[in-house]
Amino acid sequence: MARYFYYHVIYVGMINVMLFVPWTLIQHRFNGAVSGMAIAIVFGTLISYLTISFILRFPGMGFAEIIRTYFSHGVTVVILILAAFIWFMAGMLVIYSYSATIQQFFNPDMNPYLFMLLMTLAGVWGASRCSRSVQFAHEIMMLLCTPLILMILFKAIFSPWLDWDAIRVTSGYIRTAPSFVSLCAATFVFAGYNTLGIFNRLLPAGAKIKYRWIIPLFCSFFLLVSFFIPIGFHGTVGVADYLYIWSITADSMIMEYGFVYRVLYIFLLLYTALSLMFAMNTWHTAMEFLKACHPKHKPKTEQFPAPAVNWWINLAFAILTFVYAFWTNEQRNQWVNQYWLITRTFVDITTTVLLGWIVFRGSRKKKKQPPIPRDAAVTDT
Amino acid sequence: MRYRKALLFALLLSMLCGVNGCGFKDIDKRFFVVAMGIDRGSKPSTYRVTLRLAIPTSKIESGEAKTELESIEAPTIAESVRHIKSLVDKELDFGHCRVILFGKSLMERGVDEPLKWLSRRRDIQMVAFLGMAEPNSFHVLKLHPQSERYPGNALFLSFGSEGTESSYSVTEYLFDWARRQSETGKDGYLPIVRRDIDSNSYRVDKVAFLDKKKLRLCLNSEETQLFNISAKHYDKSVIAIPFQGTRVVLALSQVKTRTNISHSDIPEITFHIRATGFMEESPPNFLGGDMQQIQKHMQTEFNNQLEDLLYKVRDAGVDPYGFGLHYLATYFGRSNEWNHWMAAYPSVKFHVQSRIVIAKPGLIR
Repeated sequence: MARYFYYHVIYVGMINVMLFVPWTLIQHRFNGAVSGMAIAIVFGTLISYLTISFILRFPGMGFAEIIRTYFSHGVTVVILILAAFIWFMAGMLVIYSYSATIQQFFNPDMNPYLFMLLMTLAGVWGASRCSRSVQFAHEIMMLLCTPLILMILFKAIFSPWLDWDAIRVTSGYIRTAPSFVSLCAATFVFAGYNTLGIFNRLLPAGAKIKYRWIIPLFCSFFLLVSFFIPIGFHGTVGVADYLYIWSITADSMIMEYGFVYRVLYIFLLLYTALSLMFAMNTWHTAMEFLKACHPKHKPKTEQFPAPAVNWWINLAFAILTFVYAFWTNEQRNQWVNQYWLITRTFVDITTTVLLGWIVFRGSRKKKKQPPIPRDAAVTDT
Repeated sequence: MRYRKALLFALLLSMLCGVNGCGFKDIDKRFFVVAMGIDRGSKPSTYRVTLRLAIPTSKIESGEAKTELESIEAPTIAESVRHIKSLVDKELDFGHCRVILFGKSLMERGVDEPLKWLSRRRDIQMVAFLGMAEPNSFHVLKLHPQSERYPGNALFLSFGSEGTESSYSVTEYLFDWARRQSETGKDGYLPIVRRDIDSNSYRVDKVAFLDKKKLRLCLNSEETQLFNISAKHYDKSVIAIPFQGTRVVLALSQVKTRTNISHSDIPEITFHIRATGFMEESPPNFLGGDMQQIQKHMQTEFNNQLEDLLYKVRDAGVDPYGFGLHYLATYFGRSNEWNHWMAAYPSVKFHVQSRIVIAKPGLIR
């Protein structure tokens, strides 16, 4: 079962391209991005290991059920709404950035909202499914994407046009003090473990998550690749000029005998799948958090006709995405992205501290009055 | 349930309304730009943009490919492209523009603005081939080679590894050139594209070097080949060395290079190159004892040739090999080291250490 968990870790590691993480890091490449990344690797690994261990102490319970057992209803609702907001923002920002990219590279004459409408409709439909379907959809999408991802990554790494001198020069700036924004941006790559907040409901009781070294290994790899490969292709100075940095990097590679010789289109196709997957997952999680605000909510992981409330919540998300699209432009979007990355880091830390505190309190209570039936807390199996 | 299905159907139908204005034009209402040339205009600070447009035909035969050439002058490239649109009957599409040429006079003035236009346009590929046209790009693009099967393909087959692979033609992509235009310690190069003397093909056998501003140096074809071997590790080339009245020619199969730069006041650059190949032209009785001697002789000769080239490039004030960047990378340098390098580069010393391995003598002894 642990493989479902690692799908989340891996695609969140890759979606960073659409959330301006490489762009943020590259803007700070001479003043603290590299050292920020080094710290983020340690910090991200640590916080993910801690959170996983904490959540696994509550088998079959989502984040909502865990905090509900220890906090009053009012506090729970506040926490859940905040969490849902952060999760929803993630999907919204990716959908917006992806439709902007598509519009830029496929057809600039196209109505910008048309593509967004298609993306949000797919997102609404995907996210309103039950947790089990969402989980299975992830597996299928990951299996479809993996060959393309590997192809693009290895094509980039082994390209003779990749300038390792430029990469080496930039990595020399590890001696500068880390910059805060780049630290937050780099931490995002490790954020995939957070989905355990909902998908822990699906893990059978007593399930263990093995092979945790996958998190530092893969996430550090994605982080280093998404920062250093553009620098290797566009130089230490020129790289800062590009807005859609990874699309341009993909466009710098060719497949002479490929069906389409510009790698850019393969890259965009791949990110269609990844963005939809990300939007589906984040909106689903946000929706589950909102549903859990109801005091008598019983989480159900398998429901076949999706309940109407799922549709309504996701429809509201879609409408908010359009409102955001009307308000925003390139500059505002970058600004919102940066602040979202910073806020998210703090929310992550708070979540871990909160869970740690609950576990600590629980273990002390257990010592005082040992006979607590553990299954009493489990609402669904 | 039926009510819901009807609602969904109505929703899907209503989405069709959004499809009308999405800007797609039929392929037969488009003109594909296959090559683009940018020259200096006749008035100061104007550009002359030349576009080679493909005319689709049903016949695919050599020499039957038809193209149309349109050219106009304007203060900026964007304006000239808009103006050219008024000269043609179909919508211009840059998605298949694989070659971009700059005129020589434009290169002498500086190419910052054309580069900005090319990077800003989303439909210009970052993998388009670049070249410098001599005397100007209009003159070069006017040529219509007989060997063309598809409109404009003779020009782009000259570059890259799709068509001919010549050691005299260097290949430069737009993204690489854009990075070299801003990179510290690495300067740009462009292949020089000319008309052949008999005007039936292109001639791409020279290279031009630029610093960040303008054209600085053009090499002859022999030096271009040497540059292609040493800087680009181009292994489908030959090394020719005079030996006892004849010429010994080694066809290369593998080239490896390594650069060491010392950390002294005046850095010394040691350029190691290892070239493996087989004999194509050699004195008779090659295996009869001359082999070691020839190998040694080739190494010293090649060292001298390459050192001459490196000093020539250094004296022109350009660094297409990227020695400066390599220096910074070796010592993890920052602005101090960079200033030091810029001051020291005009007087750096080069040592070439070549290792030439004759793997096979060919089919005869």
